[in-house]
Amino acid sequence: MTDQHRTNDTDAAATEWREVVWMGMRFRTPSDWEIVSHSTRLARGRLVLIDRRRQRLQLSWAHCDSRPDLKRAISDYRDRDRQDDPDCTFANLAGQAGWRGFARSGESDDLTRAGRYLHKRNLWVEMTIAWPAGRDANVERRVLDSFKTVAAPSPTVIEADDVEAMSPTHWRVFGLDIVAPAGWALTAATVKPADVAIEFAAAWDPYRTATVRRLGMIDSWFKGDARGFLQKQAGYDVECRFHSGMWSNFTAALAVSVEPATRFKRLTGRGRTRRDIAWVDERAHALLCATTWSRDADPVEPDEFEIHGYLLR
Amino acid sequence: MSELTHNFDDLLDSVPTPSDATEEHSAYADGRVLRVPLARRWYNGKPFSWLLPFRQHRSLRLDGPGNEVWGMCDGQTTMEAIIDRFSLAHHISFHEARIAVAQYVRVLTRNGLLALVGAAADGEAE
Repeated sequence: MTDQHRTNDTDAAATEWREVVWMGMRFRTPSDWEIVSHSTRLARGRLVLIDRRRQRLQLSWAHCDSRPDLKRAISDYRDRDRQDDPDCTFANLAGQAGWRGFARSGESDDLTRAGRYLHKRNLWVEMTIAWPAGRDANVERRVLDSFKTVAAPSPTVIEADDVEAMSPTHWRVFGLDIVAPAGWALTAATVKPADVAIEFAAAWDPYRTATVRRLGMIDSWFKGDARGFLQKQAGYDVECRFHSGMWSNFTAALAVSVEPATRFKRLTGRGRTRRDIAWVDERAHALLCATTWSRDADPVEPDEFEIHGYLLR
Repeated sequence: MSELTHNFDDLLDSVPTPSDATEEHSAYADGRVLRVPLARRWYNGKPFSWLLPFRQHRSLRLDGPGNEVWGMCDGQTTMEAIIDRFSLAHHISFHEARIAVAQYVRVLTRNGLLALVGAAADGEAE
């Protein structure tokens, strides 16, 4: 690193860290960095994390059939940065396994830009870290070194025979830690304050879908009636059969109901059964809920998903 | 990421300050009702008000979390401190709390019960 580069190195071991797993990529960040923008597309997307005040990290990915020219890509970024701030200085990244890139220091926020190509996934990945208070090489190294790939998410459409070759997929975001069965693709993630819903669909059968929810602030609205909550979710005019059981060491309420459908839909075998499970995860201070919809002939139980909550602060 | 789009400095440094005209009308188990006088117009003053029962106040009923947020708006506590306390009390993340608190503050501001005083303006006043 040159003398011109300001540094603000902290003891990375003393910082609290949190793991993020999204789209088959896993990395760790300081625990006060939160996701504020996310993409659910496999081919191209980004994840943006901010601390209390400012944007701190952007992970972006793009499908790329052949290996891109890394040198060229990095040099293009340098040129662009130099156009924005002609007096900025650059230092090459060194020692971060698999990453190529540079740290920029100048008038505006310091930045670290790093890129790598994931051969097996044909994916070009870029990570940009902003340093409003000066570059912190320890945190930078730890974030970049923590990046790993895990089982790739399923495409949204596959043949039933392909499922056997696939692995369960791991997702850890927004206070939810989910392991989805093989062949289930992420279709949507809706994030509202204290209400996160992540939706999956079986890639080989569009009639099998699932939603995992995390509802926070339970002290202000949840009075302990999980069955009442499930009835409200299914609809008050829908008849539910309730059970109780243990789930992730917590007492859970289960409900089975028939999804409202036309008689024609039922007669043609497209009617579905809804299965709900809800429990209070005391460690996460949240109500967790999983709902599956499937045809009677081929039921999906919510326990096919492994779900845990974690505290967001 | 040449464009760093997210910056919450202005919001977090601002101070929600209750309007002097706001009065607490009634309190109940989970919250309270606040009211603020409506502006007098030519058509809702005398002599029309002798004939028609015009509202004199606008009322707003706060639920539990809204009541908490209102309780912390004392004209001195910054939004950052309010959000911090709210997130600790409800075990939610800072930015979840930011969105929730900002929604309450927006409703209170729109109804004329509260004003957001910016950090810069506050400094000038001193």
